[in-house]
Amino acid sequence: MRRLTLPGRPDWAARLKEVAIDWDGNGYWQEQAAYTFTPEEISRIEEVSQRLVDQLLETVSFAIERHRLGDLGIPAFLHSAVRESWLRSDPSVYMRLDLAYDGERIHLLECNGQTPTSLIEASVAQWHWLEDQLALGQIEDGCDQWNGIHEGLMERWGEASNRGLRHVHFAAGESSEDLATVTYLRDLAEQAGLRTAGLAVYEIGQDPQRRYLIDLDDQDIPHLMWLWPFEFAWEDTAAPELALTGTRFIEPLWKTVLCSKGVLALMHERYPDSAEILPASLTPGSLSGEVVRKPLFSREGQNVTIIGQDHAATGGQYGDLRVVEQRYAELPEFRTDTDERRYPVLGVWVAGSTVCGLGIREDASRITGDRASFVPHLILPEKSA
Amino acid sequence: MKRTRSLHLTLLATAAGSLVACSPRTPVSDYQRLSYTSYAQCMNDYRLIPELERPCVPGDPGYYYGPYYYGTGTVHYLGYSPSGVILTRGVVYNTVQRTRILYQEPKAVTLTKSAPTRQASGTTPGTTEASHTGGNAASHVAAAAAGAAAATVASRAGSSTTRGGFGRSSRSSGSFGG
Repeated sequence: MRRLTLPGRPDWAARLKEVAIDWDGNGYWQEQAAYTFTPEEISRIEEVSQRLVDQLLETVSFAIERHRLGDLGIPAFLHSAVRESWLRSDPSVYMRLDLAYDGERIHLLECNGQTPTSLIEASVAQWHWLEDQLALGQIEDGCDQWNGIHEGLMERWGEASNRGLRHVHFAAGESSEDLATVTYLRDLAEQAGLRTAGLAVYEIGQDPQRRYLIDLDDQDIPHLMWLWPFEFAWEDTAAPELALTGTRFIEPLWKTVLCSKGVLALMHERYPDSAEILPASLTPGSLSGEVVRKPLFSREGQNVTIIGQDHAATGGQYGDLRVVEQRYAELPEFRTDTDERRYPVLGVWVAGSTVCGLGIREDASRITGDRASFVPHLILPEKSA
Repeated sequence: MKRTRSLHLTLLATAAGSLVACSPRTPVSDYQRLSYTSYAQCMNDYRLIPELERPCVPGDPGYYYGPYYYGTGTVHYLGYSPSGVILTRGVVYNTVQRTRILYQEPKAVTLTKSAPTRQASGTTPGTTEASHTGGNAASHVAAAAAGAAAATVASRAGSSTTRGGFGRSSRSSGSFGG
């Protein structure tokens, strides 16, 4: 794994706009950098990631069957609904694993089970980048990319259709980034033959006399894909609807297990000898050595503390929540052409339960936050790798 | 793992145009709408904005309401759902270039708190050559319309539907990341 710099495309900003990315300011999209991998490295990352996905799903079953949902910070009023969702095998479309990879060791840092972002960047924008750079001759012929995200997600929608799914409502919050992500997912669903409708999360209607949530045309919402975190939803005034409504959520309610960072402790409990699963505990202070303390639910690296030699801490909106501690895994350090430090995290995308591609974010801090940049990647041809 | 075909993104490409039109949060007081004495007159005023969903809805007996709007040169319009709820997806109409772009109003649910209704005076903002002065306020229509519209947003007439129960987290403003 290497970090290289190369000339950017002259029309890169327009290329991002074409796919609705308007949040590329402040260096978020790194046009003139890329991470390179050998085919062997990618094969190994893929193999390990798939094993981690299988272990995560087994841990979901464990958490539900052993009544551990409360340990994960999932409110009690949802436990039955989460269990029913799992027993029904409510379909999942996607998630993302965040991994630390230093060229040898691979460690699972987190799982983004319900609302993983940077999807368009990973699936579409970095693919356009690869095609454009190949055409411009900026990168070597034969370079490839681990990127079957688009196709993998479309297959998932196709499978959902085969299971009888016909009409899906898509909802997002107020940011253009979230709206674009949902629109992309909706685009894929339509291409897979589903009928769709869109609305904002705050426009979703509730009526105690009706079985389902309600759209703006006063129609039932049997299936709702929303980019709205469950941990936000269960703090909303309509929270009881999560357990009462007949509406099926995509991602499904069982994904609450994978939204909680507490699942890292359960993973360690289930697989204590795994080389990729870091020791983790729901009891602060019980791990030796350097640890990372993070709230059971937090986003963009908020309220994360590294306790030890590489001490660092962030503030945020999640300081009131219970925490999980995880053995600290050092991220590899790379230097930019201006000698600034960068710490990349690998985001492995999963369609259903199958790994399908890679997106990389790098931060100037060891804690990956909302100032991290997205950096495209490529796989070198066999001969030059 | 290399792709063998290009990516087709019809919906996302369309969204790219509309997302550009996302506007900063609009002061509630900037929105208003016109009232008409006939449905045909109302619909005729918005014929140049075919993308606008249901621009006209029945109001008080003998009246019809046009879409909520604000602006002059670049006018933002919001139509209605079949049940009369003000939509947050609307159209921006440029009166000079005669262009139309879809847009998403961030907080339409709050519009009715003070958005006034004015009587149409033969000119409609953005859709005719003449400039619009807002018409003469019809106080009884404005008061009734504001009340009726507030009711449709909070709950459908004759039902107990509520909206806004989701989507209000204090933990995040804008995108929450993940």
